[in-house]
Amino acid sequence: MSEKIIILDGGMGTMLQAAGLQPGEHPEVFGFHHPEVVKQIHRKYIAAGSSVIYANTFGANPKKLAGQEIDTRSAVLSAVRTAKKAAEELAAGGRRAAVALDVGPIGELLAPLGTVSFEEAYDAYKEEMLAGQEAGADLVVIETFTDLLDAKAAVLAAKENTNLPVWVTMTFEESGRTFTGTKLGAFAMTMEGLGVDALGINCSLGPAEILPLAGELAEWTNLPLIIKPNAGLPDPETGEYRLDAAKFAEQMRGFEHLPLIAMGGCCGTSPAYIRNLAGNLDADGIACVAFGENPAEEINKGRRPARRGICSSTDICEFGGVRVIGERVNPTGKKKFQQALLEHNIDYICQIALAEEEAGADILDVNVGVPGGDEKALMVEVVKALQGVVSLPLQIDSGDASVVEAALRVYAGRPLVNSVTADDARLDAFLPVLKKYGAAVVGLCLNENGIPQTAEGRVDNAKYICKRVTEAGIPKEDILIDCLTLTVSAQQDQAKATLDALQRVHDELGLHACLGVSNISFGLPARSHINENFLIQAMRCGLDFPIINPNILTLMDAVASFKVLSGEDTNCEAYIARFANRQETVSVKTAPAGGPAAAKAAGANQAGTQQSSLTIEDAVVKGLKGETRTLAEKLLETHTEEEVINDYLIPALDKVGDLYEKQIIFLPQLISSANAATAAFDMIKERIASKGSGQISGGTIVICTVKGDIHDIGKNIVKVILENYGFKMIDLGRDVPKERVVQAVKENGAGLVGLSALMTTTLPAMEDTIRAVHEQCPGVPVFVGGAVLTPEYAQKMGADFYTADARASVEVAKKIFGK
Amino acid sequence: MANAVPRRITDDGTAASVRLTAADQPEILRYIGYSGQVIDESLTKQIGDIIEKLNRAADPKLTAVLYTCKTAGSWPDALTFLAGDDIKAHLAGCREILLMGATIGAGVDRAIHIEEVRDAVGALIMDSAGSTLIEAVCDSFEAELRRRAAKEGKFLTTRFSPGYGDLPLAVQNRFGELIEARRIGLTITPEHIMVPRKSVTAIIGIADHPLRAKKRTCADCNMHESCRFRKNGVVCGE
Repeated sequence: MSEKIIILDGGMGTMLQAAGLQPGEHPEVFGFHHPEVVKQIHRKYIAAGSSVIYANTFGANPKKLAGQEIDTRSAVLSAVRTAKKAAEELAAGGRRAAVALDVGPIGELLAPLGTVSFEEAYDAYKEEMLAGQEAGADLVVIETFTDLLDAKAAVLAAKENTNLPVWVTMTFEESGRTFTGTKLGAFAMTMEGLGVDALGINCSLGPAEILPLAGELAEWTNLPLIIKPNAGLPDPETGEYRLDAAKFAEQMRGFEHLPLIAMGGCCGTSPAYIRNLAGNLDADGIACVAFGENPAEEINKGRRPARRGICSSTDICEFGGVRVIGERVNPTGKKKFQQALLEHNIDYICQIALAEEEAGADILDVNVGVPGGDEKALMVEVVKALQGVVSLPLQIDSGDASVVEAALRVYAGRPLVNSVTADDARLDAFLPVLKKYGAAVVGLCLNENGIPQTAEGRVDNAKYICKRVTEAGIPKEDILIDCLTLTVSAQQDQAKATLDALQRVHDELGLHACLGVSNISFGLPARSHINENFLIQAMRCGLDFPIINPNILTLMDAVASFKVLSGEDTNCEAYIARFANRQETVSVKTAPAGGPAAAKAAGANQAGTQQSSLTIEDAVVKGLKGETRTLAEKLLETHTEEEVINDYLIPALDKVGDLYEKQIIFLPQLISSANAATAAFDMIKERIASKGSGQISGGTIVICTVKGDIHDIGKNIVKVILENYGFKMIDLGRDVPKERVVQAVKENGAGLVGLSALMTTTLPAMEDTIRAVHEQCPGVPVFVGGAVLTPEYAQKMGADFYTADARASVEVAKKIFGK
Repeated sequence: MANAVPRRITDDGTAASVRLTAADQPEILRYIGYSGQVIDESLTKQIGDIIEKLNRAADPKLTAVLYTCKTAGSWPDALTFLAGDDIKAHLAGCREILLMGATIGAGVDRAIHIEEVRDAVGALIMDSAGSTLIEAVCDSFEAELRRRAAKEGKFLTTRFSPGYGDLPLAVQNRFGELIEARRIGLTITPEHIMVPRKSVTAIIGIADHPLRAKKRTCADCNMHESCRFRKNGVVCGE
């Protein structure tokens, strides 16, 4: 700790309750009506030694105050002025305690877990920040957050709408994670990247429990820390916090070795705790100073964070060793991927990302550039979806700075950006964005004149990038240089130029390096040999971020082996774990194109051919994917696509539906059968597409869970089943406003709409949506389903059909599309 | 006027450590509407895998607030928002009223979402397993409370949740504020939906004398018309 520290205040809630706040009553509303009571509390804290007091604005955001008698502005103006009055009354020697605008979380979880969007959260905080600035707060303290994205929305709102210093503290559990899984390091890196002035931990735990967490936090950031613990842990039976004022102050001494800027108390602490705390510090020769009297630089003199990396909110990729960047989330040369983007079939993209995560990638590159697609909107959509599913940090891949900025804004974590070049125009566009959001960056060794043919030329470009990026205030450790892989069959000397450049970037510039590997072998047979060899040589030259397809086992094996030989894999533990149960085959096989999933399907195919007596109907009924597909392929030798669908697959599904209705099979089996049929349908669709002979879709159906409702298991099952009857499903997801439903019906020419709601409280939204569809899309019927619905209620709401289960929805769809 | 001073209590760690085992499979299946169909090995294995994933993702947390009434049957001011006759009948004769909240955490929502992307069957099972686990966590907490009460010679009612009988779901938001649901990471949307989804709020009455067990029947339930258990000829309770 520095010799100076700012003393914060202690708990507000318990003090207010003692002064008459009723349980469940909004403290801001209470404070609005009883400013004198709140002022007295502030005065007690100042008298006890607090030089920063938190205004009574913790829950003053518009979401939390909805339905209350006062709005955000009046709540904030009143509370900040009350605090300032207390500070002024007790001002001494021309100095008064500083007043913080206290900003608590929005109170709901952000999407995809909850229904509040990042943008809504930002707008709510903006209102609060503007009022805080107007009221004359001295700083903004964002505290008690558990969701990193929520905290990011608040920080951006503070930085973009005020000129006040911004402090942010989150609430962690003893595991070192928040309730939503945010890690300490992820919090530190993300907030430092966003340019906050100090960060730390408050609430939930006592000083002794927070101490090790604060130590870990300090490893990840250069910023000074704020610690505001509870008065110990509560007793489970009495609810009393366990530490008295003296013990609390004693435990707080444990933080003395850490780079602290401020300390205080949270729940269960009172002015007595703050007085003891200040007394102890005084006895230890630490001066309690006013806000602004211990600048961050002084606290951190010469200190550099011990650890660096990039992160999502729940996962950290720490730099220092070989880290694999997965390259599969990219539409280039992939028809199905392009189509998925254009149709907003984001689940497909999430599946690819999940497969990369399982295969052992450390970072996922995300590229959504596709002709005819709105890159910016797609990037935001895909980034939001991916961070709800994969834990790995992302690498935002676009040449358009505005696309990158849109993605960085909604990203919960600290990502990599791919890429800048040594071209000034591109650097000028990218650097302010990278700096504002604190991203790490890939620099391609090329400039406006193209790719230099010599190692020398590429190193020069790397140097220039390094110069410009560091001048913009981004640390050198956050730069990854891409020395560019050219095709060896076309320009044979270039492989060596790339490796030489790589070596020099590593040795002379001391920068990280990334490299797309597979391009090296383009046009050659048995590409995997060249790829593997090039990868190994490149890693030996200093490549620490290979960009590869992690589903290719040989490449990942090469990385695992390299880590043993480089010493990174201590005691070969990871290597041994990787290969412990592996049965090595002698013959070299070409890896199946689709990775592990395709390999599994291939295995299933073999099993299928062994049981040659199996009919396609049996295969569907038993839910055997590989067999269904194989048998359908066989049938196609003697039948047309339409015949296979109409004479084999659909009757098989009907039989499954019949068995389900008779309760001979139950829901999981019904879905498995549907999935088995999908395997055959997909194969047939691909055949038809490759022949270019049109679509087999039996009609387009828009489906979703209505606004405000987030239950979608049932809706997803209906989707799977209908898909298997050949209907084209446009799935809008959950919590969908009626406008989007109408828009999707019009855009896709849908002939039917399916709506789901599980709660009585979201039925009004369902009714609204039905009305909107009927008014704006005449002739398009709506079917509804969901736990709380009954046929009578469905009719009352104006729905055209009520469907009790997925099977019933098939009957409706068949009726509408005349099948 | 009965102005009760609420006391915050939590579990001693037992309920938070509850996880599912293979023995919970029948309960998981019951939520999916299982009624004796033949189940093959692969489905059994899948349920086992899902249980493992769920156990890793789950992070159960509990909190409760205990109100003491001046006399049995008097209603603390803070609780007048608990509308309807059914909750009053449920708490008849109780001198203490406990409001509890429990969740198995946001990690489970995420795990369910991942399965949704991957495989609808897995999602269905994970969802059911999540429901099974949150109930088990609540049962464990209730048992702990029962033990504590027994030491003082007191008796507990069963759990009664917003949405049961004529106690409207709309009380959920105020309920959440009273128990300070944020302390366990539980939030409630304006539509009164709990997020994380696998969460429970409930009311338990505590009396100085033994209580006649009130058996809840399907007729009392607001899901009566649309219950998926009843549709499959089974019931949700014991």
